[in-house]
Amino acid sequence: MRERPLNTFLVQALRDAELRRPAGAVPRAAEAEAGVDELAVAAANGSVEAVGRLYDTLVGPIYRYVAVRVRSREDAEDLTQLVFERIVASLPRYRHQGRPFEAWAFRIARNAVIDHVRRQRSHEPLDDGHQAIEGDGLEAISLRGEEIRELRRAIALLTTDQQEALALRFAAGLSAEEAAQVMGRRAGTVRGLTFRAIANLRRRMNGDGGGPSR
Amino acid sequence: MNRLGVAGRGAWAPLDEAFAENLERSLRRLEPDAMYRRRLRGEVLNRHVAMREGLVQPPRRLREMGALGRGVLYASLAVAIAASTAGAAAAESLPGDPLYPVKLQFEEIRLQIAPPAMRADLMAMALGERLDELEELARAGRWSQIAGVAQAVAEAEERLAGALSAPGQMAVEELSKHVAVLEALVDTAPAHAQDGLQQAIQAATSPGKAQEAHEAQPSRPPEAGPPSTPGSGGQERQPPQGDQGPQKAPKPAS
Repeated sequence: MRERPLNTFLVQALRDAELRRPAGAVPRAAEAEAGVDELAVAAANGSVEAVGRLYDTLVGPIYRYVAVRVRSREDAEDLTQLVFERIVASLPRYRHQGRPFEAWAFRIARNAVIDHVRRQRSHEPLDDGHQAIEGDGLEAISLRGEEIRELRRAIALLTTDQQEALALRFAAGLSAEEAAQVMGRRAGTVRGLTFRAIANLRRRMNGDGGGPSR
Repeated sequence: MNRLGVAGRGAWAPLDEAFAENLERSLRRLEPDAMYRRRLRGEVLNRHVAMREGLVQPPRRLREMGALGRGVLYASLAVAIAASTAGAAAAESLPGDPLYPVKLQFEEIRLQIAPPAMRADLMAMALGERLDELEELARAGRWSQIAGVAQAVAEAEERLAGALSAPGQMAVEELSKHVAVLEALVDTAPAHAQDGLQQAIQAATSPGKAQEAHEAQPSRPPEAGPPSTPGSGGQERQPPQGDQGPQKAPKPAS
C-alpha cells in the first residue's frame, strides 16, 4: 500500500469532494450478496453450502467491524473466529421473524467485542485513551502507514457509541437501519452518532480536535 | 439526501461527505489474511457438519437450564411455598385443628436448631403460645379441649423451668404471668375443665420449678404476677389485682 504523509487523508477528502460519486454508488457488501436471509434459513436447516456462502458473505464485514473496535490483528482474528463459532452454534435456533440475519449476526459480533473490550480494560491500567492505540493498531492488520495510524488515534478518542456506529456503517457497510437494529437504537440516533463521529474525526485529523468528543 | 442519510442538514458540508467516503474506502481495505480466511472457512464448515451430525454439542448458554435443573428449581420453590403457607396457616391453629400438629412440629424444629443460648426464650415463647391457646379456646367456648392444653401448659412450664440455668427476660416474664392466666381461667371454666387447670397451676407453683424463675427475676413488680409461695396450692391463691387476665369467656350453664 502507498504510504502518505500526515493529513493527506484530508487532501484526499477534498479531492473526493470535487469528484464525488452520486449517492448510493458505493456498493455494500451485503447488497452484493442477495438473499442472505434465505441462505440463513437454509443453513439453519443444515445446508453446508448455505453455511459456506454465508461465511463468504459475512467474513469480510464482520472482520472489518471487529478490527476497527479492537487493538491488534490477533485480537481481530480471534474474535472473528469466536463470532463464527457462535453463529454456527446458534444457527439451529435462528428464526427469521422479520429480523435480518445480518443484524442477528452483527449482534453476536457486537456482544463478543463488548466482552473483549471489558476483559481488556480489566487487565490494563487506566489511561487517557491515547495509550490504547499504540503498538499493534490497524496498521498491523493490513493497512500500514502514518495516515491510518492517525485515523486510528482519532477513532479511539470518539465515544463508544460513535465508534460503534462508525464501525458498523463504514467498516461493515450496514445501513443506518441495520446498524440501529444491531445497536438497539433508532435509525435517527445512529445517523446522528455517525454525523458527530465524522465531524469529530475530521476536526481531529485537521488538528483542531480538543477534549473528549460528544 | 446525502449518502449518510441526513437530508437538508447544512452541517453535512461537502468536506464531511467526502471525508466520510474516504474513510469508508480506507476501512473497506481492511481484509483478513487470505490464509486465515480459508482456514477459518474450513473450521466453520467442519463445525457446522459436526453439530448437525450431533458429534459436537452446541455450547449451552448460561441462562439456559437443563430439564433436571428446572425440575429441581420448581420442586424447591413448590416446597418452600407450601412450607411457608402451611407454616403461616399452622401458626394460627388451635388444639383440635388439623394443622395444630404442624404448629407443634415447627416449634420443636425451631427449638432443636436454635443455639443453646436462645432455647430458654424459645421455650418461653412456646409456653406463651399455649397460654394464648388456652385463652382462645376459652373465648371460643371449646372447653372440652382446655384440659389437654392445660396439661401442655404444665409440660411447657416444666420444660422451661428445667432449662432456666440462665433465664432470659422473656422466659422470666412468661413464667411470671402464666399462673395468672390459668387462675383467671379457673374462675370461668366449667367443672370438667377445672381439674386440668388446677393441675397446671399446681405444677407451676410446685417447689423447684417456677420458683427458680421467679427468684431469677430481678425486680418484678408485685402486680406483674402472682406470688409463688412454695407449697401453696393454686386454689388458695387470689387472682392478681389489676390483672384479671384476658377477656372472660361466658361460663357455660353446665
